[in-house]
Amino acid sequence: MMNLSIEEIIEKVKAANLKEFGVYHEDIVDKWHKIIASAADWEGDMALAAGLDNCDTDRMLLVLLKEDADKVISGMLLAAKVLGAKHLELHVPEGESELRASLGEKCADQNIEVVEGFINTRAFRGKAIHHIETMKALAEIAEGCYEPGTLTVIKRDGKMNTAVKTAFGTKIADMIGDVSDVKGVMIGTKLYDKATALEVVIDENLSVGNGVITLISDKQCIIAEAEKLLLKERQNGCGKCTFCREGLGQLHTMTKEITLGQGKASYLDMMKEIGEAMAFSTLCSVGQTGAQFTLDSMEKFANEYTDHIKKKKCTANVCSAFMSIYIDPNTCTGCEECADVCPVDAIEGKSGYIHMIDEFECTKCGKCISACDEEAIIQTTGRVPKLPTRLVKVGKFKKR
Amino acid sequence: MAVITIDGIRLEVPEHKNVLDCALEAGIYIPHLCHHPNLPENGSCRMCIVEVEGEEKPVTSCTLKARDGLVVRTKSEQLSKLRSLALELLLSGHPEDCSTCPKYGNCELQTLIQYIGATNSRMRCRSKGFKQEESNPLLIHDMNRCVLCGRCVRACNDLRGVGVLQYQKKDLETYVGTLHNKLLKDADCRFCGACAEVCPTGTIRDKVQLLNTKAKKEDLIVPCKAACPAHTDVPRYIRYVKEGKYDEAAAVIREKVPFPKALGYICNHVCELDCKRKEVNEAMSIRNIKRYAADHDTGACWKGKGKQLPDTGKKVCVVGAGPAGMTAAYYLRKQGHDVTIKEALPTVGGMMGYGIPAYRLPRTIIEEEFNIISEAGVKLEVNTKVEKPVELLKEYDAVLMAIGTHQGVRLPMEGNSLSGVLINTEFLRNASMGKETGMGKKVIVLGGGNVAFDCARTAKRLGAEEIHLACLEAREVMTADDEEIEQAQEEGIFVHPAQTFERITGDTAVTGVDFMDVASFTFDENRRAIIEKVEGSEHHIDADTVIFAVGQRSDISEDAGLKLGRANSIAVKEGTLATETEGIFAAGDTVYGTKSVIMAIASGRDAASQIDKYLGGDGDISEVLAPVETPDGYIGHVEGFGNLKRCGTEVESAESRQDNFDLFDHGICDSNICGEASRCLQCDLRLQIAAPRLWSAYDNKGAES
Repeated sequence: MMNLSIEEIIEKVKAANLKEFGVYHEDIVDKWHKIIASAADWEGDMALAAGLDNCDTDRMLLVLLKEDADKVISGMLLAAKVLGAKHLELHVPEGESELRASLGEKCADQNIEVVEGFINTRAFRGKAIHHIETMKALAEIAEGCYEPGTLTVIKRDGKMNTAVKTAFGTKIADMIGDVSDVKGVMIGTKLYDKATALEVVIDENLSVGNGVITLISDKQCIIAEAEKLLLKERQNGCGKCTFCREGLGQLHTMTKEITLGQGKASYLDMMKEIGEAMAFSTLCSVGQTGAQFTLDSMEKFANEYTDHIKKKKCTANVCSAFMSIYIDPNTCTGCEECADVCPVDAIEGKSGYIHMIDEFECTKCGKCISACDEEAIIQTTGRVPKLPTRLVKVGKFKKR
Repeated sequence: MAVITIDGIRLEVPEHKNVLDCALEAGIYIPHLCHHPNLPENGSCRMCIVEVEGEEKPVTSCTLKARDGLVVRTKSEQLSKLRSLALELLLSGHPEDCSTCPKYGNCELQTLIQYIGATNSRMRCRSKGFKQEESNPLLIHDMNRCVLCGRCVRACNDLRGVGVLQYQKKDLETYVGTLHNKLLKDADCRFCGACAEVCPTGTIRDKVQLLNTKAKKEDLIVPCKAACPAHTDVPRYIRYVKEGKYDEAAAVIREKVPFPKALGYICNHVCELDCKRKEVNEAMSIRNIKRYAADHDTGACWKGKGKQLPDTGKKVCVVGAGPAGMTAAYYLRKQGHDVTIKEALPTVGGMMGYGIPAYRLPRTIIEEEFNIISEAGVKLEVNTKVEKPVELLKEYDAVLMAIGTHQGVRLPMEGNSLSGVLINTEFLRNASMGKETGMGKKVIVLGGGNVAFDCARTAKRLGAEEIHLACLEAREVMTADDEEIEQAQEEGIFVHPAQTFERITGDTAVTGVDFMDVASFTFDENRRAIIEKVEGSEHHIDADTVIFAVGQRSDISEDAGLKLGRANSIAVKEGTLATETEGIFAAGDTVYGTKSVIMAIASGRDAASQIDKYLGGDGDISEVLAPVETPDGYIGHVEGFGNLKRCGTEVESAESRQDNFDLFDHGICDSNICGEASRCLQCDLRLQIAAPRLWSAYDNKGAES
């Protein structure tokens, strides 16, 4: 297939209507034209880097390098031919040194450097960066065995199913099964509400990002999810771009404060302003997509934000800052089990007396709840009944 | 070329040039922080964003390339908001109080805050909690002030090729540092200072105070050159030596001094005291590098270059053929004047030929270097002592008194004129001329400077059997070089620091000296010496010869018709080298007392310049002898750079050197010279780095709406 002329390659790619996979959803032939047009602005020979998107922390698509490396490499060589690229890099994410080593020999034959870590977008101005899934598709197009579709995986309760090749034209509703407790769906980096998500069709016009379709259930707090995601992104980012480093920092701090009940109404405008600017004020997908989930959640689950900030309540009952834990004085048998497990000694009591939780010391870790065989320890977001204020013998506490 | 339009102003600029530089060079200010003209673009701070016609979102002008028809706006409400937001984000992790920062008033971030008018008040602020790192030589790192513009990282990697500084991450904070937080020296830092030069904030700073001082920044950055009285361009010639270009190196030295060789052997090298390398481990061996360059100079680079102005018809007489006189004569001749040197002694050199012993400076070198001066057309009359300088004005348009200090001081003490008491200058002069010195077998030298050691070691070579040297100062504060003291002791000379000289004993001839031990020796506020002796410490050392080596002064009296100053010096008008007598100037030791050859050369240059002006010239004696080149700033990574040891010289053993006047220090050997020259930090490279461009310097400030 390397005998194909540049014109033939472009013809075939056009016919297949190939778009870049990952978060940079763009027509490949258009993209090549743009790269070639801007090349003269920058020093150095044309180069090509292929890898996952920098923002992809799930790394599901790494399976392509583990199982189909030859196709990815062939695709790189085809793209390099079209672009006239002299230097080729294949990136594996940080920590994948074994994979790097195993690819090393294969790539050395083709004069491709295998690099561990981020694709350095600064060094690739006026040069080409492609997703490995695009490279694999390119090789298949050249061979004539391309079947339009993309690799996806369903993630439910934080667990990933097996990755499957999803043919273009498949509806999300037909992929995810039981949706009774689902309130939102994240496709790649974008968050949808349930109703909209179910109607989404996976085809060449949709960016599926890293191919992971994450189901968010009613039991999950959307803000807590945003906070976790933002933390992961902060850990992943290289820290060079102001808007990525500091922007993610601000969003993370603010979402965290909201989950702790310390959020202010003014945070929402600030988060929107920062998040929207991040999309075009950063140099790679970490910053460009880093605020997407947060922005989408603020729009689609606005009620959860106002509940946290104004009503001081977590809609999904996840954020412990809004909860109280108390020992029901009429059920407690004074067995001392709860006091034994409390890691911060917040439970007062002695054998035969009703135990009491010091709410200032309590961290709401919930260990006492599972330790109590009588189910006397109650977690609630509602009102707390009248409780004893000093040690009272079991059975002697009178409700007034 | 491409025609672009910035804020309605049409500019013709090179195609592909970045729009930020196009604007700044055309006098249009665009705020910027991570951009630096000497570094590749980072594009991260987002201060320099502009709007491009036909594009939806703002782009950074530092990465926007000029193309024909490009239309750019640098100001709009959207741009103001985004710049302000970018700055607010940067400030959220930056200390709030500028006034405690050493960079206050010189900080680029501070000027941006003033220009953009942002504060951190909308952000959730944090303290990064880094400890200020002060344990590195020369540099301080305070990562709390860092805004991660990445200039230092690019300077260290792309500009210098050293690769010590990198982005690092600790928990969620990004910072700039070395791998595994190694000390800079252990990370093979080359201490070029580029990082501190490009840092826009107070994060990476020099330990030496560069800001808010009266000293010139250039002098503080290249202290060796500043310390040299003649301001020889030290880093430049060391670089040539490293490259094996000794002719070019010698030419660099010759641009400032006419005696590169002599200086290579005997310069007191004050440059080495200020060498920044000494903060890293040991100072550069600058004098010995100079010596190597001068010894290996073929003259191919500088001969035939330099200036020789047409004859002016003016006549100058220089009295004294020491370093000051010869230097002045040489440059005055080059300015076109007819110059004659009158020397009292039979040959040229002054103290270089009659004070400094031949084992330190072979006499052929003086002759060789004078020949160049002679070839330039300077006339010489030897054995000509000038008693009445004023009378010279009848024949000459100007006279320079460069008579040195050839009269030794005899301390006013008991026994000071007994037979067997000698004076430093006379003793050394007689020894140099091969004349009888009057020295006996057992010698005591009184004095602790380099001249005292010259006397003691000369006495050794003339065959004295037992030699003592005693001085008032304690060992640590003796003015002689340590090397000189140690070598003398190796030769069997007994050194007695912290002694008072009570009396020289003897009836007609010297029998010895009585000493007492000094308990303390200090100066009061009027610079008067206060000496406390150890009670009962009187002791006596037998001798048949005592040599006074306690200072020297000019051999001149009021009879000469010139106004004299302190300690028999020739008085000059403040800030000049002109005497009270019109047309007569003075230079060298006779003006400021006994100092060094390099001081005398610097004084000779000053005198030449002033006399040239007096005679109607422009006083500019500067010369370009070496190639004018911009050195390569890409110095690269050198393993173990900070620990490279200072290279020693090849020195003859005490046994083989102590009975003759042959040169005994052979300098740095061929195989070590490149290594020694390679140790240089090349502090001067930093001067090539462009200064920041601040909005206050622009007329078109583009005041933000």
